Amino acid sequence: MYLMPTVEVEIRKDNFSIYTYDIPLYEVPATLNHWGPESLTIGEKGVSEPFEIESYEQEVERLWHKYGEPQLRATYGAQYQEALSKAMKEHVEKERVIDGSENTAQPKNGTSPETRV
Amino acid sequence: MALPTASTGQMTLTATDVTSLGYVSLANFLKNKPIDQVAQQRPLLKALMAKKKPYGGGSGGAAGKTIVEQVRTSYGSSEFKWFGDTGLATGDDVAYAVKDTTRQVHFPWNSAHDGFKFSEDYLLGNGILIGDSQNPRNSGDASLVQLTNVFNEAMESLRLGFEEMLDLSLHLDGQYNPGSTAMTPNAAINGLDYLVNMNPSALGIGGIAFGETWWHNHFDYGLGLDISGAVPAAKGYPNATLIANMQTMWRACQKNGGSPNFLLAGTDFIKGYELASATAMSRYAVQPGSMSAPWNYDPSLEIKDMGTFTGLFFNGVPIIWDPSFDAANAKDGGSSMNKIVPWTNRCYMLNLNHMFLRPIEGNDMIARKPPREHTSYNYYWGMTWRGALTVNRRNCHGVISASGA
Repeated sequence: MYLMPTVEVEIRKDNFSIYTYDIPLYEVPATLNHWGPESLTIGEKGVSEPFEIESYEQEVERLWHKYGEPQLRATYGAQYQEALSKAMKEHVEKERVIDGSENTAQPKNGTSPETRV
Repeated sequence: MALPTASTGQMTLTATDVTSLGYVSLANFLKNKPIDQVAQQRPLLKALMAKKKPYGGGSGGAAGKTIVEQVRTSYGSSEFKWFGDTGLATGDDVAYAVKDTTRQVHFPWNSAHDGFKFSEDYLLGNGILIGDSQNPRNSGDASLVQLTNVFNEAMESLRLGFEEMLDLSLHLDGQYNPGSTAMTPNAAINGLDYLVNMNPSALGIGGIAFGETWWHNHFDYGLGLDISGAVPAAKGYPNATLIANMQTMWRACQKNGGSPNFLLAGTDFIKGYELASATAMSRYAVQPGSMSAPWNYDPSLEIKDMGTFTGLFFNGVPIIWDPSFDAANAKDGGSSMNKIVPWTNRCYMLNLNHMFLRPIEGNDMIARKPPREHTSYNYYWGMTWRGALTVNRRNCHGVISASGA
Protein backbone atom coordinates (compact mmCIF):
# COMPACT_ATOMS: atom_id res chain seq x y z
CA MET A 1 0.00 0.00 0.00
CA TYR A 2 1.22 3.49 -0.85
CA LEU A 3 0.12 6.93 0.23
CA MET A 4 0.32 9.64 -2.39
CA PRO A 5 0.60 13.38 -1.84
CA THR A 6 -2.54 15.21 -2.81
CA VAL A 7 -3.80 18.55 -3.92
CA GLU A 8 -7.24 20.01 -3.37
CA VAL A 9 -9.32 20.64 -6.47
CA GLU A 10 -12.66 22.27 -6.99
CA ILE A 11 -14.62 21.04 -9.97
CA ARG A 12 -17.51 23.20 -11.11
CA LYS A 13 -19.63 20.82 -13.13
CA ASP A 14 -22.35 23.42 -13.56
CA ASN A 15 -23.73 26.33 -11.57
CA PHE A 16 -25.25 24.04 -8.95
CA SER A 17 -22.94 21.03 -8.78
CA ILE A 18 -19.53 21.67 -7.27
CA TYR A 19 -17.17 18.97 -6.12
CA THR A 20 -14.21 19.70 -3.86
CA TYR A 21 -11.86 17.01 -2.79
CA ASP A 22 -8.24 15.93 -2.86
CA ILE A 23 -6.70 14.10 -5.74
CA PRO A 24 -3.19 12.68 -6.05
CA LEU A 25 -0.78 15.01 -7.81
CA TYR A 26 -0.31 12.77 -10.84
CA GLU A 27 -4.07 12.90 -11.49
CA VAL A 28 -4.11 16.67 -11.94
CA PRO A 29 -3.24 16.64 -15.68
CA ALA A 30 -6.02 14.14 -16.43
CA THR A 31 -8.53 16.11 -14.36
CA LEU A 32 -7.49 19.31 -16.08
CA ASN A 33 -7.83 17.77 -19.52
CA HIS A 34 -11.15 16.20 -18.63
CA TRP A 35 -12.92 19.20 -17.11
CA GLY A 36 -11.03 22.03 -18.76
CA PRO A 37 -9.35 24.98 -17.06
CA GLU A 38 -12.59 26.97 -16.77
CA SER A 39 -14.23 24.28 -14.63
CA LEU A 40 -11.26 23.38 -12.45
CA THR A 41 -9.63 25.28 -9.61
CA ILE A 42 -6.48 23.77 -8.17
CA GLY A 43 -5.83 24.46 -4.51
CA GLU A 44 -2.96 24.03 -2.16
CA LYS A 45 -0.75 20.96 -2.24
CA GLY A 46 -0.23 18.62 0.68
CA VAL A 47 -2.55 20.27 3.20
CA SER A 48 -4.87 17.31 3.49
CA GLU A 49 -4.56 13.61 4.02
CA PRO A 50 -2.63 11.58 1.46
CA PHE A 51 -4.38 9.37 -1.06
CA GLU A 52 -4.13 5.67 -0.41
CA ILE A 53 -3.49 3.23 -3.24
CA GLU A 54 -3.16 -0.54 -3.08
CA SER A 55 -0.80 -0.86 -6.03
CA TYR A 56 0.34 1.12 -9.06
CA GLU A 57 -1.55 -1.23 -11.36
CA GLN A 58 -4.83 -0.84 -9.49
CA GLU A 59 -4.43 2.92 -9.48
CA VAL A 60 -3.90 3.00 -13.24
CA GLU A 61 -7.03 0.90 -13.56
CA ARG A 62 -9.00 3.34 -11.39
CA LEU A 63 -7.90 6.21 -13.61
CA TRP A 64 -8.73 4.17 -16.72
CA HIS A 65 -12.28 3.71 -15.49
CA LYS A 66 -12.61 7.31 -14.41
CA TYR A 67 -11.25 9.06 -17.49
CA GLY A 68 -11.30 6.42 -20.20
CA GLU A 69 -8.37 5.26 -22.31
CA PRO A 70 -8.51 8.02 -24.97
CA GLN A 71 -8.26 10.68 -22.27
CA LEU A 72 -5.34 8.93 -20.55
CA ARG A 73 -3.52 8.52 -23.86
CA ALA A 74 -4.10 12.16 -24.73
CA THR A 75 -2.83 13.26 -21.33
CA TYR A 76 0.04 10.92 -20.52
CA GLY A 77 0.92 9.52 -23.92
CA ALA A 78 0.46 6.13 -25.55
CA GLN A 79 2.47 4.46 -22.77
CA TYR A 80 0.27 5.99 -20.09
CA GLN A 81 0.57 2.99 -17.76
CA GLU A 82 4.33 3.41 -17.56
CA ALA A 83 4.13 7.19 -17.34
CA LEU A 84 1.66 7.05 -14.47
CA SER A 85 3.54 4.32 -12.60
CA LYS A 86 6.73 6.36 -12.92
CA ALA A 87 4.99 9.48 -11.64
CA MET A 88 3.61 7.57 -8.66
CA LYS A 89 7.03 6.18 -7.76
CA GLU A 90 8.59 9.63 -8.02
CA HIS A 91 5.96 11.19 -5.81
CA VAL A 92 6.42 8.58 -3.12
CA GLU A 93 10.20 9.06 -3.24
CA LYS A 94 9.97 12.85 -3.17
CA GLU A 95 7.80 12.70 -0.08
CA ARG A 96 10.38 10.50 1.62
CA VAL A 97 13.14 12.99 0.90
CA ILE A 98 11.13 15.92 2.21
CA ASP A 99 9.99 14.15 5.33
CA GLY A 100 13.23 12.32 5.97
CA SER A 101 11.49 9.29 7.33
CA GLU A 102 11.35 5.77 6.02
CA ASN A 103 7.62 5.69 5.75
CA THR A 104 6.29 9.12 5.00
CA ALA A 105 3.09 7.78 3.78
CA GLN A 106 1.68 7.07 7.20
CA PRO A 107 -1.82 8.46 7.50
CA LYS A 108 -2.31 11.40 9.76
CA ASN A 109 -5.16 10.93 12.14
CA GLY A 110 -6.94 14.09 11.12
CA THR A 111 -10.39 13.25 12.39
CA SER A 112 -12.85 16.11 12.48
CA PRO A 113 -16.24 15.70 14.05
CA GLU A 114 -19.02 17.42 12.19
CA THR A 115 -21.64 19.33 14.12
CA ARG A 116 -25.24 18.66 13.23
CA VAL A 117 -28.30 20.78 13.57
CA MET B 1 -23.01 -38.83 -19.57
CA ALA B 2 -21.90 -41.19 -22.34
CA LEU B 3 -22.95 -40.45 -25.86
CA PRO B 4 -25.37 -42.94 -27.45
CA THR B 5 -23.59 -45.53 -29.51
CA ALA B 6 -24.53 -48.02 -32.22
CA SER B 7 -24.55 -50.81 -29.64
CA THR B 8 -27.54 -49.21 -27.88
CA GLY B 9 -29.45 -49.07 -31.12
CA GLN B 10 -29.07 -45.31 -31.54
CA MET B 11 -27.07 -43.63 -34.29
CA THR B 12 -25.44 -40.22 -34.16
CA LEU B 13 -26.52 -37.79 -36.89
CA THR B 14 -24.30 -37.32 -39.88
CA ALA B 15 -23.49 -33.87 -41.25
CA THR B 16 -25.89 -34.49 -44.11
CA ASP B 17 -28.68 -35.34 -41.69
CA VAL B 18 -28.09 -32.17 -39.73
CA THR B 19 -28.21 -30.06 -42.89
CA SER B 20 -31.44 -31.61 -44.11
CA LEU B 21 -33.01 -31.30 -40.65
CA GLY B 22 -32.10 -27.64 -40.68
CA TYR B 23 -34.30 -27.07 -43.72
CA VAL B 24 -37.37 -28.42 -42.02
CA SER B 25 -36.93 -27.41 -38.42
CA LEU B 26 -36.38 -23.68 -38.67
CA ALA B 27 -39.99 -23.02 -37.76
CA ASN B 28 -39.48 -24.57 -34.35
CA PHE B 29 -36.65 -22.19 -33.60
CA LEU B 30 -38.91 -19.28 -34.45
CA LYS B 31 -40.80 -19.80 -31.21
CA ASN B 32 -37.65 -19.26 -29.17
CA LYS B 33 -36.56 -15.86 -28.01
CA PRO B 34 -32.88 -15.43 -27.16
CA ILE B 35 -32.29 -16.26 -23.53
CA ASP B 36 -30.74 -13.26 -21.85
CA GLN B 37 -27.34 -14.12 -20.41
CA VAL B 38 -26.66 -10.69 -19.01
CA ALA B 39 -29.98 -9.72 -17.42
CA GLN B 40 -29.68 -8.43 -13.91
CA GLN B 41 -31.96 -7.20 -11.17
CA ARG B 42 -31.91 -3.42 -10.79
CA PRO B 43 -33.52 -2.72 -7.42
CA LEU B 44 -32.53 0.95 -7.27
CA LEU B 45 -33.92 1.76 -10.70
CA LYS B 46 -37.04 -0.25 -9.95
CA ALA B 47 -37.68 1.50 -6.65
CA LEU B 48 -37.07 4.95 -8.13
CA MET B 49 -39.23 4.23 -11.18
CA ALA B 50 -42.07 3.06 -8.94
CA LYS B 51 -42.23 6.48 -7.31
CA LYS B 52 -41.05 8.74 -10.09
CA LYS B 53 -42.38 12.27 -10.17
CA PRO B 54 -42.46 13.64 -13.71
CA TYR B 55 -41.35 17.23 -14.08
CA GLY B 56 -43.19 19.55 -16.39
CA GLY B 57 -40.12 21.26 -17.77
CA GLY B 58 -39.37 24.94 -17.56
CA SER B 59 -36.12 26.71 -17.00
CA GLY B 60 -36.10 26.61 -13.21
CA GLY B 61 -34.43 29.97 -12.94
CA ALA B 62 -31.83 32.04 -14.62
CA ALA B 63 -29.42 29.13 -14.97
CA GLY B 64 -31.94 27.05 -16.91
CA LYS B 65 -32.17 23.27 -17.24
CA THR B 66 -32.82 22.70 -13.58
CA ILE B 67 -35.52 21.10 -11.49
CA VAL B 68 -36.22 23.15 -8.40
CA GLU B 69 -37.10 21.81 -4.96
CA GLN B 70 -38.26 24.18 -2.24
CA VAL B 71 -36.74 23.37 1.16
CA ARG B 72 -37.20 24.78 4.65
CA THR B 73 -33.83 25.27 6.26
CA SER B 74 -34.98 26.16 9.78
CA TYR B 75 -37.88 27.71 11.64
CA GLY B 76 -36.12 31.06 11.34
CA SER B 77 -35.56 33.67 13.99
CA SER B 78 -38.01 33.55 16.83
CA GLU B 79 -39.47 35.98 19.30
CA PHE B 80 -40.93 33.25 21.47
CA LYS B 81 -41.20 34.20 25.13
CA TRP B 82 -43.38 33.54 28.14
CA PHE B 83 -45.02 36.80 29.02
CA GLY B 84 -47.11 38.27 31.75
CA ASP B 85 -48.67 41.62 32.36
CA THR B 86 -46.65 43.67 34.81
CA GLY B 87 -49.57 45.69 36.05
CA LEU B 88 -53.31 45.99 35.64
CA ALA B 89 -52.92 48.29 32.69
CA THR B 90 -49.36 47.43 31.68
CA GLY B 91 -48.86 44.68 29.18
CA ASP B 92 -45.56 42.87 28.82
CA ASP B 93 -43.71 43.70 25.64
CA VAL B 94 -43.68 41.12 22.89
CA ALA B 95 -41.89 41.20 19.57
CA TYR B 96 -42.33 39.77 16.10
CA ALA B 97 -39.70 38.06 13.99
CA VAL B 98 -39.03 38.39 10.32
CA LYS B 99 -39.05 34.88 8.89
CA ASP B 100 -36.65 33.76 6.21
CA THR B 101 -36.87 30.00 6.22
CA THR B 102 -36.95 28.67 2.69
CA ARG B 103 -34.37 28.13 0.02
CA GLN B 104 -34.52 26.80 -3.50
CA VAL B 105 -32.39 23.84 -4.44
CA HIS B 106 -31.58 23.44 -8.12
CA PHE B 107 -30.97 20.06 -9.69
CA PRO B 108 -29.67 20.22 -13.27
CA TRP B 109 -31.45 17.74 -15.50
CA ASN B 110 -29.58 15.70 -18.06
CA SER B 111 -30.30 13.96 -21.33
CA ALA B 112 -29.43 10.41 -22.31
CA HIS B 113 -29.55 8.74 -25.71
CA ASP B 114 -28.95 5.30 -27.16
CA GLY B 115 -29.77 4.03 -30.61
CA PHE B 116 -29.11 1.55 -33.39
CA LYS B 117 -29.24 1.47 -37.15
CA PHE B 118 -29.83 -1.12 -39.85
CA SER B 119 -29.29 -0.96 -43.55
CA GLU B 120 -32.18 -1.89 -45.81
CA ASP B 121 -30.16 -4.79 -47.25
CA TYR B 122 -29.41 -6.21 -43.80
CA LEU B 123 -33.07 -6.18 -42.82
CA LEU B 124 -34.06 -7.81 -46.11
CA GLY B 125 -31.53 -10.53 -45.40
CA ASN B 126 -33.46 -11.24 -42.21
CA GLY B 127 -36.80 -11.34 -44.02
CA ILE B 128 -37.83 -7.88 -42.90
CA LEU B 129 -39.32 -5.39 -45.35
CA ILE B 130 -38.89 -1.69 -44.78
CA GLY B 131 -39.38 1.40 -46.90
CA ASP B 132 -39.67 5.13 -46.60
CA SER B 133 -43.38 4.86 -46.04
CA GLN B 134 -43.60 1.65 -44.04
CA ASN B 135 -42.38 0.40 -40.71
CA PRO B 136 -40.38 -2.82 -40.50
CA ARG B 137 -42.56 -5.89 -41.07
CA ASN B 138 -41.88 -9.54 -41.76
CA SER B 139 -42.05 -10.62 -45.38
CA GLY B 140 -44.44 -13.40 -46.37
CA ASP B 141 -41.55 -15.87 -46.36
CA ALA B 142 -39.86 -14.54 -43.25
CA SER B 143 -40.50 -17.76 -41.38
CA LEU B 144 -38.24 -19.56 -43.85
CA VAL B 145 -35.21 -17.42 -43.16
CA GLN B 146 -35.66 -15.92 -39.75
CA LEU B 147 -34.41 -17.50 -36.55
CA THR B 148 -34.64 -14.27 -34.64
CA ASN B 149 -36.27 -11.09 -35.85
CA VAL B 150 -33.23 -8.81 -35.71
CA PHE B 151 -35.36 -5.70 -35.52
CA ASN B 152 -37.42 -6.88 -32.55
CA GLU B 153 -34.26 -8.15 -30.88
CA ALA B 154 -32.54 -4.80 -31.43
CA MET B 155 -35.53 -2.90 -30.03
CA GLU B 156 -35.65 -5.08 -26.93
CA SER B 157 -31.91 -4.99 -26.33
CA LEU B 158 -31.99 -1.22 -26.83
CA ARG B 159 -34.48 -0.86 -24.00
CA LEU B 160 -32.67 -3.33 -21.72
CA GLY B 161 -29.29 -1.77 -22.46
CA PHE B 162 -30.71 1.67 -21.82
CA GLU B 163 -32.02 0.54 -18.44
CA GLU B 164 -28.61 -0.92 -17.62
CA MET B 165 -26.86 2.37 -18.33
CA LEU B 166 -29.52 4.48 -16.61
CA ASP B 167 -29.33 2.26 -13.53
CA LEU B 168 -25.53 2.47 -13.43
CA SER B 169 -25.64 6.24 -13.90
CA LEU B 170 -28.16 6.55 -11.08
CA HIS B 171 -25.61 4.93 -8.76
CA LEU B 172 -22.64 7.12 -9.72
CA ASP B 173 -21.91 10.69 -8.67
CA GLY B 174 -22.09 12.34 -12.06
CA GLN B 175 -18.35 12.46 -12.74
CA TYR B 176 -18.11 9.18 -14.61
CA ASN B 177 -19.02 8.08 -18.08
CA PRO B 178 -21.15 4.95 -17.64
CA GLY B 179 -20.72 3.86 -21.23
CA SER B 180 -17.87 3.70 -23.68
CA THR B 181 -19.02 6.49 -26.01
CA ALA B 182 -17.22 9.77 -25.41
CA MET B 183 -19.34 12.39 -23.65
CA THR B 184 -18.89 15.92 -22.44
CA PRO B 185 -17.70 15.84 -18.83
CA ASN B 186 -20.74 17.55 -17.33
CA ALA B 187 -23.36 15.61 -19.26
CA ALA B 188 -23.93 12.71 -16.84
CA ILE B 189 -26.77 12.66 -14.34
CA ASN B 190 -25.87 13.15 -10.67
CA GLY B 191 -26.84 9.87 -9.03
CA LEU B 192 -27.04 8.26 -5.61
CA ASP B 193 -23.36 8.64 -4.76
CA TYR B 194 -23.73 12.36 -5.38
CA LEU B 195 -26.77 12.88 -3.16
CA VAL B 196 -25.75 10.42 -0.43
CA ASN B 197 -21.99 10.18 -0.16
CA MET B 198 -19.14 9.55 2.24
CA ASN B 199 -17.89 13.13 2.29
CA PRO B 200 -20.86 15.53 2.16
CA SER B 201 -18.87 18.59 3.14
CA ALA B 202 -16.96 18.20 -0.14
CA LEU B 203 -19.97 18.87 -2.30
CA GLY B 204 -22.01 21.85 -3.26
CA ILE B 205 -25.37 20.41 -4.17
CA GLY B 206 -28.17 22.42 -5.70
CA GLY B 207 -26.58 25.76 -4.92
CA ILE B 208 -26.57 25.26 -1.13
CA ALA B 209 -23.31 26.19 0.55
CA PHE B 210 -20.98 23.35 1.48
CA GLY B 211 -21.01 24.15 5.17
CA GLU B 212 -24.78 23.93 5.66
CA THR B 213 -24.99 20.78 7.76
CA TRP B 214 -28.80 20.62 7.48
CA TRP B 215 -28.11 19.78 3.84
CA HIS B 216 -25.64 16.96 4.56
CA ASN B 217 -26.49 13.28 4.37
CA HIS B 218 -25.27 10.99 7.18
CA PHE B 219 -22.24 8.83 6.63
CA ASP B 220 -20.15 6.38 8.60
CA TYR B 221 -17.20 4.38 7.28
CA GLY B 222 -16.07 3.08 10.61
CA LEU B 223 -15.00 6.21 12.48
CA GLY B 224 -18.40 7.06 13.92
CA LEU B 225 -21.46 8.88 12.66
CA ASP B 226 -20.59 11.86 10.46
CA ILE B 227 -16.94 11.78 11.50
CA SER B 228 -14.54 12.47 8.70
CA GLY B 229 -10.97 11.18 8.54
CA ALA B 230 -8.78 8.56 6.94
CA VAL B 231 -10.86 5.58 5.89
CA PRO B 232 -9.89 2.53 8.01
CA ALA B 233 -8.19 -0.33 6.18
CA ALA B 234 -11.16 -2.59 6.95
CA LYS B 235 -13.41 -0.11 5.07
CA GLY B 236 -16.13 -0.35 7.70
CA TYR B 237 -17.35 -1.89 10.92
CA PRO B 238 -16.73 -5.48 11.97
CA ASN B 239 -19.88 -7.44 12.77
CA ALA B 240 -19.42 -6.99 16.52
CA THR B 241 -20.10 -3.26 16.36
CA LEU B 242 -22.09 -3.00 13.16
CA ILE B 243 -25.66 -3.10 14.48
CA ALA B 244 -25.06 -0.52 17.21
CA ASN B 245 -23.65 1.90 14.65
CA MET B 246 -26.49 1.18 12.23
CA GLN B 247 -28.93 2.04 14.99
CA THR B 248 -27.08 5.31 15.59
CA MET B 249 -27.39 6.22 11.92
CA TRP B 250 -31.02 5.10 11.84
CA ARG B 251 -31.88 7.50 14.66
CA ALA B 252 -29.96 10.29 12.94
CA CYS B 253 -31.99 9.69 9.78
CA GLN B 254 -35.18 9.76 11.86
CA LYS B 255 -34.28 12.91 13.79
CA ASN B 256 -35.88 15.38 11.41
CA GLY B 257 -38.85 13.19 10.54
CA GLY B 258 -39.65 9.92 8.83
CA SER B 259 -37.67 6.69 8.73
CA PRO B 260 -35.50 5.09 6.08
CA ASN B 261 -37.74 2.83 4.02
CA PHE B 262 -35.32 1.36 1.50
CA LEU B 263 -32.06 -0.38 2.42
CA LEU B 264 -29.69 -1.17 -0.38
CA ALA B 265 -26.48 -3.06 0.34
CA GLY B 266 -23.42 -4.62 -1.24
CA THR B 267 -22.18 -8.18 -0.84
CA ASP B 268 -19.61 -7.67 1.92
CA PHE B 269 -21.97 -5.52 3.92
CA ILE B 270 -24.55 -8.28 3.81
CA LYS B 271 -21.95 -10.84 4.91
CA GLY B 272 -21.07 -8.64 7.87
CA TYR B 273 -24.71 -8.08 8.72
CA GLU B 274 -25.44 -11.81 8.58
CA LEU B 275 -22.65 -12.42 11.08
CA ALA B 276 -23.88 -9.57 13.23
CA SER B 277 -27.49 -10.71 13.23
CA ALA B 278 -26.48 -14.27 14.03
CA THR B 279 -24.85 -13.14 17.21
CA ALA B 280 -27.39 -10.47 18.05
CA MET B 281 -31.11 -10.73 18.46
CA SER B 282 -32.79 -12.86 15.85
CA ARG B 283 -35.34 -10.16 15.14
CA TYR B 284 -32.83 -8.45 12.88
CA ALA B 285 -32.65 -11.37 10.54
CA VAL B 286 -35.99 -13.11 10.58
CA GLN B 287 -39.44 -11.69 10.80
CA PRO B 288 -41.97 -14.36 9.94
CA GLY B 289 -45.15 -12.99 8.51
CA SER B 290 -43.72 -9.65 7.59
CA MET B 291 -42.54 -10.60 4.13
CA SER B 292 -45.39 -8.94 2.32
CA ALA B 293 -45.81 -5.86 4.47
CA PRO B 294 -42.94 -5.06 6.81
CA TRP B 295 -43.90 -2.09 8.89
CA ASN B 296 -41.29 0.42 7.85
CA TYR B 297 -40.82 -0.59 4.22
CA ASP B 298 -42.07 1.73 1.54
CA PRO B 299 -45.59 0.44 0.91
CA SER B 300 -45.45 1.28 -2.76
CA LEU B 301 -42.73 -1.34 -3.26
CA GLU B 302 -43.27 -5.06 -3.30
CA ILE B 303 -40.48 -7.07 -1.68
CA LYS B 304 -41.16 -10.20 -3.66
CA ASP B 305 -40.73 -8.23 -6.86
CA MET B 306 -37.33 -6.96 -5.81
CA GLY B 307 -35.69 -10.25 -6.71
CA THR B 308 -32.62 -9.60 -4.64
CA PHE B 309 -34.23 -9.60 -1.22
CA THR B 310 -31.66 -11.10 1.15
CA GLY B 311 -34.02 -12.46 3.80
CA LEU B 312 -32.55 -9.92 6.19
CA PHE B 313 -34.33 -7.01 7.82
CA PHE B 314 -33.21 -4.03 9.82
CA ASN B 315 -35.79 -2.25 11.96
CA GLY B 316 -38.57 -3.70 9.88
CA VAL B 317 -37.09 -2.82 6.51
CA PRO B 318 -35.82 -5.57 4.23
CA ILE B 319 -32.20 -5.34 3.11
CA ILE B 320 -32.00 -5.55 -0.66
CA TRP B 321 -28.79 -6.70 -2.34
CA ASP B 322 -27.91 -4.56 -5.30
CA PRO B 323 -25.87 -6.38 -7.98
CA SER B 324 -25.23 -3.07 -9.75
CA PHE B 325 -22.85 -2.11 -6.94
CA ASP B 326 -20.17 -4.20 -8.66
CA ALA B 327 -20.53 -2.27 -11.91
CA ALA B 328 -20.50 1.02 -10.03
CA ASN B 329 -17.32 -0.02 -8.25
CA ALA B 330 -15.69 -0.92 -11.54
CA LYS B 331 -16.35 2.63 -12.71
CA ASP B 332 -15.37 4.72 -9.70
CA GLY B 333 -13.09 2.33 -7.81
CA GLY B 334 -15.25 2.76 -4.71
CA SER B 335 -14.46 6.45 -4.52
CA SER B 336 -17.18 8.45 -2.83
CA MET B 337 -16.04 12.06 -3.01
CA ASN B 338 -12.55 10.56 -2.84
CA LYS B 339 -13.19 8.54 0.29
CA ILE B 340 -12.38 5.06 -0.93
CA VAL B 341 -15.09 2.82 0.45
CA PRO B 342 -15.84 -0.02 -1.99
CA TRP B 343 -19.48 -0.38 -2.93
CA THR B 344 -19.49 -3.96 -1.71
CA ASN B 345 -18.98 -2.68 1.83
CA ARG B 346 -21.77 -0.11 1.71
CA CYS B 347 -25.36 0.00 2.87
CA TYR B 348 -27.57 2.91 1.93
CA MET B 349 -30.41 3.85 4.24
CA LEU B 350 -32.76 5.80 2.02
CA ASN B 351 -36.07 7.48 2.64
CA LEU B 352 -37.82 7.34 -0.72
CA ASN B 353 -40.37 9.89 0.47
CA HIS B 354 -37.57 12.42 0.05
CA MET B 355 -35.70 11.14 -3.00
CA PHE B 356 -37.25 11.21 -6.45
CA LEU B 357 -36.50 10.28 -9.98
CA ARG B 358 -37.81 13.24 -11.94
CA PRO B 359 -38.09 12.44 -15.65
CA ILE B 360 -39.16 15.38 -17.76
CA GLU B 361 -42.75 14.86 -18.83
CA GLY B 362 -42.92 13.08 -22.18
CA ASN B 363 -39.21 12.28 -22.06
CA ASP B 364 -39.13 9.15 -19.95
CA MET B 365 -37.37 6.54 -22.10
CA ILE B 366 -39.23 7.39 -25.25
CA ALA B 367 -38.63 5.72 -28.61
CA ARG B 368 -37.24 7.99 -31.32
CA LYS B 369 -37.27 7.54 -35.11
CA PRO B 370 -34.84 9.92 -36.76
CA PRO B 371 -35.34 10.37 -40.51
CA ARG B 372 -33.25 8.41 -42.99
CA GLU B 373 -30.40 10.29 -44.60
CA HIS B 374 -30.89 10.89 -48.30
CA THR B 375 -27.36 9.66 -49.00
CA SER B 376 -27.85 6.10 -47.75
CA TYR B 377 -30.49 3.48 -47.04
CA ASN B 378 -29.72 3.18 -43.36
CA TYR B 379 -32.61 3.44 -40.92
CA TYR B 380 -32.25 4.72 -37.37
CA TRP B 381 -34.05 4.06 -34.11
CA GLY B 382 -33.27 5.62 -30.77
CA MET B 383 -34.34 6.07 -27.21
CA THR B 384 -33.96 9.15 -25.04
CA TRP B 385 -34.49 10.07 -21.41
CA ARG B 386 -34.33 13.45 -19.75
CA GLY B 387 -34.53 14.17 -16.06
CA ALA B 388 -32.75 14.29 -12.73
CA LEU B 389 -32.50 12.48 -9.44
CA THR B 390 -33.51 14.92 -6.73
CA VAL B 391 -33.90 15.08 -2.98
CA ASN B 392 -35.86 17.55 -0.94
CA ARG B 393 -34.06 16.48 2.23
CA ARG B 394 -30.64 14.97 2.63
CA ASN B 395 -30.44 14.46 6.40
CA CYS B 396 -32.93 11.58 6.23
CA HIS B 397 -30.56 9.48 4.14
CA GLY B 398 -27.35 7.77 5.20
CA VAL B 399 -24.62 5.43 4.04
CA ILE B 400 -22.73 3.13 6.37
CA SER B 401 -20.09 0.49 5.65
CA ALA B 402 -19.15 -2.89 7.07
CA SER B 403 -15.92 -4.79 6.69
CA GLY B 404 -17.76 -8.02 5.98
CA ALA B 405 -15.91 -9.84 8.74
